[in-house]
Amino acid sequence: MEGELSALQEDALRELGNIGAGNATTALSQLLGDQRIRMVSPAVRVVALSELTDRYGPPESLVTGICVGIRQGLAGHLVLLLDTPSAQQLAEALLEMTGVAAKHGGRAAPAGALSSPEAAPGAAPGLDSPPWPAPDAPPPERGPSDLRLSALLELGNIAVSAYLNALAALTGLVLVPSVPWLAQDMLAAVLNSLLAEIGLSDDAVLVIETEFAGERFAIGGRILLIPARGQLKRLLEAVGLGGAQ
Amino acid sequence: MGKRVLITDDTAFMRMTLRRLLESNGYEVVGEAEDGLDAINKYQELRPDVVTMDITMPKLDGISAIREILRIDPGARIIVCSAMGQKPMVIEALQAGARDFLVKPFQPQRVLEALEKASS
Repeated sequence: MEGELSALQEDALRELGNIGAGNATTALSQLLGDQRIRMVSPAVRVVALSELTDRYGPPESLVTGICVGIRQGLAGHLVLLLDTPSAQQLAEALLEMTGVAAKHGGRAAPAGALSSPEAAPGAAPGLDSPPWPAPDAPPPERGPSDLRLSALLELGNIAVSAYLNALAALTGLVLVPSVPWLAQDMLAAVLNSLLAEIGLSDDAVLVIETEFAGERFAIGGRILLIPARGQLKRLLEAVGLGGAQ
Repeated sequence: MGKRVLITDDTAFMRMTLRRLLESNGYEVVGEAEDGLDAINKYQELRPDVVTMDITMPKLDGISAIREILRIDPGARIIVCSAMGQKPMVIEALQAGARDFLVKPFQPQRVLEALEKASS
């Protein structure tokens, strides 16, 4: 894990999270017809891997995670984590705004019905079966529920890209994202798969997390920036706060 | 003597960034506030020419602080510097009396232009 951070370095990381998530929620707000989304002040935490799932809710709760890897400029991952009702509302809102919902039977499916394209209908994959589709997997056939997943994937992609663009502008780094992935599963499964993808071998991970919530629109979620091992120095150097790690 | 500025942001990093930018361009940073409540108190104490104001802050958010500062001094000049560029928030801030709204990450030139305009 990374060395100790000075107060100013930790502060700078929180501000990176604030600006990134601020831009991400601005993008979400625009997608939702200028619905207002509040942000809670961001936090920088070093979290033990064993505590990561407990931190974001009951391990068995169903969540949607949209993730991009940062492939150039800085190694790390950005994750948009939504609870299931929020994911459903967002998908529905987006499809309604684009006029797709009416063509495919109106309202979104009830809680728990959304599933990853790879999952067997009605059965969430267990902890051993990664919910992330392989990045080079061919696109699956699109049905009505796949359209909702596709809408969510696009929404997540726009939000995390807005975060990444802000981070790039702030640091002067050219940050190139991977193809985004979407996973719908139990929280523990989604996070375990993410950690496996990140390839962390340490016992703790540094997470820059920001929580957000809709005001009139009942959505809530988190955006997590997880720099890869050794990348914190690069990030801090880019904002003029290198050294003392 | 350059115009006197009060910087309001909950992160020391952003306050430092703004301070460096402003001081190297002839402004005098007379104080730093780390939340909306602190900004109100420091405004009364320091009476700066311009205030930069973040929105998402602990204790008291920036929009509430703008309203309170303008209640104390209707002539106060306040510029918002926030990562929250959502249209309803921009409108609310401007309706509350902010002179300008800068979305982070901002271009240094844009900050200087907004300050110049607000303080002239």
